Amino acid sequence: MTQNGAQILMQALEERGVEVIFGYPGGAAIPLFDALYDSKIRLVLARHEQGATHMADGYARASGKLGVVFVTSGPGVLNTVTGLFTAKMDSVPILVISGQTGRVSLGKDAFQEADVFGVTMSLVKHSELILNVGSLEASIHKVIDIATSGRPGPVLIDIPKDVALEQHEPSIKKKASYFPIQGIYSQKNVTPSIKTIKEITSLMEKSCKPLIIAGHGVLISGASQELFDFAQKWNCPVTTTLLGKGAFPEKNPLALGMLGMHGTAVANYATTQCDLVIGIGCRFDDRINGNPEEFCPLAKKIHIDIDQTESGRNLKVDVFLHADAQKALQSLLVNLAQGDHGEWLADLYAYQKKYPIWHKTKKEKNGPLRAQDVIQSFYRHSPEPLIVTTDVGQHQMWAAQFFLSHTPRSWISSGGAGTMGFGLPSAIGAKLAYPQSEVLAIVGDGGFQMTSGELATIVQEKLSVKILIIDNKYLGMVRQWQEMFYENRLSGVALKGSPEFGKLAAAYNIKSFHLSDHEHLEERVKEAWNWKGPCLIHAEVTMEENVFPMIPSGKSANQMILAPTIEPKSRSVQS
Amino acid sequence: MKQLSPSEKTTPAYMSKFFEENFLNHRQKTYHVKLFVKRSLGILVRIALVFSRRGFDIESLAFNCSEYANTGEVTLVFQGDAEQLKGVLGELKKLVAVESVHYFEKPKFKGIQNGF
Repeated sequence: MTQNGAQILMQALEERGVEVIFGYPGGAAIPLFDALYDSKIRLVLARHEQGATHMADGYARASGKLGVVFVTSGPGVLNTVTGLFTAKMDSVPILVISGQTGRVSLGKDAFQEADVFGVTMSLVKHSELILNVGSLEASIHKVIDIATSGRPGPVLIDIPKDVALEQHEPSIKKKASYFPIQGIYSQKNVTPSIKTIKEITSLMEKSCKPLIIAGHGVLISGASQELFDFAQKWNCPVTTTLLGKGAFPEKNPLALGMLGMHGTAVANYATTQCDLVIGIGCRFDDRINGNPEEFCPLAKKIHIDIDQTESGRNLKVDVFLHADAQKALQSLLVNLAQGDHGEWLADLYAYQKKYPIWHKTKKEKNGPLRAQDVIQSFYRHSPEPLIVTTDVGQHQMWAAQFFLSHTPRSWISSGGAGTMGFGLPSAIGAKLAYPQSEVLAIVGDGGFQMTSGELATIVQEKLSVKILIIDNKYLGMVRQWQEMFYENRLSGVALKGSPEFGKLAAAYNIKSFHLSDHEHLEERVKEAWNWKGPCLIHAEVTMEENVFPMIPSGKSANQMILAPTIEPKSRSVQS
Repeated sequence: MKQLSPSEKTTPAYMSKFFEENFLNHRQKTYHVKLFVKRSLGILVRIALVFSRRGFDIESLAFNCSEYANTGEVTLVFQGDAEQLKGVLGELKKLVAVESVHYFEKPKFKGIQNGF
């Protein structure tokens, strides 16, 4: 039986267990969508290709599976560039399949023809332009293996229209396992070397003030349980990166919260005091280690990562262990002795008590409503299970500080890329991955307006997604920087023409709630959580609030600004 | 609250160090890198991107067919320090079509200053 290229593609995707495809059709992608017509795979029609890739991204982060996107040539696939970049920076496995003009038109500026293969080259883990229908099936299996193995990442397949329509008779019925890939991608889990494990163990034995930094890699490799056992047994405090939130339950006494530029004071204090730091599945990027020379100045540094090129890339470390986080932690757990770091923890708890996350707690009944109050209130009444997604900006940092994550894959945020407009589409993807879970998208008024068209997707797919808009009528994070470092010369940050978000929701037939003071805060929040179906909560909050604590860009952790009223104290490092 | 002057905040400390290492450093060496690659679409661009993304040039590059089917040999020359070399080799190894990566420092021939 002969099949055309698009049917071969669809069959391969079904074999690999793809259940949902996010997409937006167009001329060159019609053959792909035609094959989808007969398929069991569910199509989610986005309203913009960027939205589609973010949905696939949210889906992949929430479920750990591959997110698949179908788009058309030219403008269609060029709109996915932001999504590919977001997935690349945060190591998320997504597959973008784009239609392309016919082979004879390649390079001739045909209608909707763009050199997608070239444009996306630096944004993907791997990409293929299919010029022969015979190689299509092998290519699909290959790129899916590449996307999901090792350090995950986005991949792209560009299929010219005539290849998708060309009939092909497969000589043998090939199974997925028929296409082995060689090289570093054939190893799904890299086993740690015994020698390095011994080195780490000997460093661990000497340490009195250890600290674990857990990153996204812990979640990707599913090592949360191992991390929990490891930290509990060794009695070691754990801090997480922004994307690592949820890798370690944040209500556990050993959890110090997020570290980095807007991390908790205690987590950053711990980095200045510790004598051993173990980074697991994190890459010590510039938001974590502001100044690489002065990051953890007293500590021996151990880095565990599945990507060998991360060795010494952002930070010079003493020991680098090239391994899968789960396997590394399992190996370390084998001979781990019961640890006791009571003094060290007491020091940290004392500091934590002295410098909690700064937040004006005085509440007047009709006083101004702060973003922190709203987020805290939503956290207090939050149901289980719950997935929180965010945009990028001040609200993201407040959400990271106040909305604690206790289970893996319950926190989805654009970290490395910092993509505004990520929150709403990724919430849609997360909801599709876990329909039984509540999904809350915490978005800013700026980011929301970048992808607000996806409200229509929520309605069309009948998804119960809750959207919390933190509306301070500013691009808050940029305004904060302008206030603090550019003499308050506010340029291009006032969002004056924003719609009434309640009315916008009403236009889509979505229920909306409005929060503007403390008076009805708690009851409205409860009402919103109990609402069955999608709803939008418009929280009008104080306009000129800043996120603290803050480590200015390029500075070290002991130059942290704790609160606006407290002068930044340059605490000298005890030796 | 401490106000930082614009120059303080826009130039992180490591940037000046980066500048120093890249442009004023005498630790720069000439490295020859040899790659065995599967001949696939766009592989030359991918290799070039590894270098251009880091902001340095390839001084010379040659792409040859190898004696094995569908395999090519790429030989290229660039200037950098040991750390940059490490970064580049790692990124090159990560490319799917690259099968193996080798490097050697520039052999010192008398009278020859650049290239081979």
